[in-house]
Amino acid sequence: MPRLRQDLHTLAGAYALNALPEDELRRFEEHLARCESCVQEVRGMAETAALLGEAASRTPPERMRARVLEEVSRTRQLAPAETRMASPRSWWSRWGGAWALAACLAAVLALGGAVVWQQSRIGELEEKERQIAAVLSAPDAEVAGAEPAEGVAVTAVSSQSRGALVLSVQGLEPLDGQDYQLWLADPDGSVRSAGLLEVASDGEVDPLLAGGIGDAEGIAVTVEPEGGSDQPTSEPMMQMPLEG
Amino acid sequence: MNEDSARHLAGVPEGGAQPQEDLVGLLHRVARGDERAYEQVYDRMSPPVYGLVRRILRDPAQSEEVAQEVMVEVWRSACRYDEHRGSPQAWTMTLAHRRAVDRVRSDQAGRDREARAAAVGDGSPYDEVEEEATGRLERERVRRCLETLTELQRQAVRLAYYGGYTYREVAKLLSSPLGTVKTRMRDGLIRLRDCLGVEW
Repeated sequence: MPRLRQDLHTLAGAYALNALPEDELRRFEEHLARCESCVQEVRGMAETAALLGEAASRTPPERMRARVLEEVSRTRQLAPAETRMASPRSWWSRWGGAWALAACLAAVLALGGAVVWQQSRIGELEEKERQIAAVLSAPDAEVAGAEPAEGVAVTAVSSQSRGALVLSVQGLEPLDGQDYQLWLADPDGSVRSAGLLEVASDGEVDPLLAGGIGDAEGIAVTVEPEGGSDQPTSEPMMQMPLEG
Repeated sequence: MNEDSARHLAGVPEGGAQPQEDLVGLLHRVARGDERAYEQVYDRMSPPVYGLVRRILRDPAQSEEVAQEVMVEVWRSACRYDEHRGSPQAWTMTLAHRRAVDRVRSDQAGRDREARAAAVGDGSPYDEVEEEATGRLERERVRRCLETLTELQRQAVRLAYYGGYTYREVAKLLSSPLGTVKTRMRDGLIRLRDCLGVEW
């Protein structure tokens, strides 16, 4: 949608001035997540807007100082860990098994009080995180979910336009000497590897980003010897069709 | 343009301790729970915060309440400040603007658009009779740069930023097409940015 894209780009000024209505704000931020030059531009504009704000400086009532200091003395600060709202681990785990694309986008792009702030954060996502965000926010993103075993929740978000999918799994047992491997099933009946799932000792699984999904019709996860296999060597513990 | 302002924004000290330099450091200390550092941040940032909030909300009591919330938010979320992503001022003013505008937009019922638009005034950052000494230089500089904008750019920027209007509302107020208003906000800000020597 080239027109939309161009439209979005011109919203940088309105965005920096905090003048976007809610729906457009979300769309623009999805755009920003994929547009480094926009992030740069918005940053300069936000600094400019801040100068407009500072130019309106005015001495606050004296009593405000004592009140603020008093409130501060009994206000708990946010833990630094919470600053990583945009990290995949937190957004995937935050929403657990109850999935909706909108929900994960909301978490990715949540406004922690400061619009531009959140944005620059997204602008600095690691490459993988950026690609994940691109899949999640793709206009043609499809969400599929499965619960292959009790307590295990699998969610796949795939986008044909990005040629990629993001797999999130929760509740997996960490394996010893074996790995969980993701497979793509092509229409001709062949199966190819899409990577290994990394399960931390606490059971937390990093979202897996698989590129080059092509026309894959489905996905499956098997347990393979450590390091993975060229072709599956065990029955899938989970399989799921991909929309497309 | 002028190097002072660029340095001011980038927080880069030159030839000794500049106040700017330690606002970044102060915020880091605040992030670790340092209340004394916070007092200094308060003294530095509460006038711009209160001034902007009051510029948007107008009502003194409401402004005080919102400015207080913003200043407490600075304490609460200081760990989110990262100097690589912007100046402490931009971070704080973004918080302040957002809070004030949230208040305005949640208060649509009691809001008389036309009256508020009129009250935004001539577009100068500070248009009350009792001009204050606080930030007079900055104000002068901003005022001069605002004057370099076209009428439509200036109106669009000031209604959005000082008036707290969405660009759609601004378009209605100015009887201009949406596309034009979006574009004017963007090129107006770019011109302002260059005039003020912002380097980010």
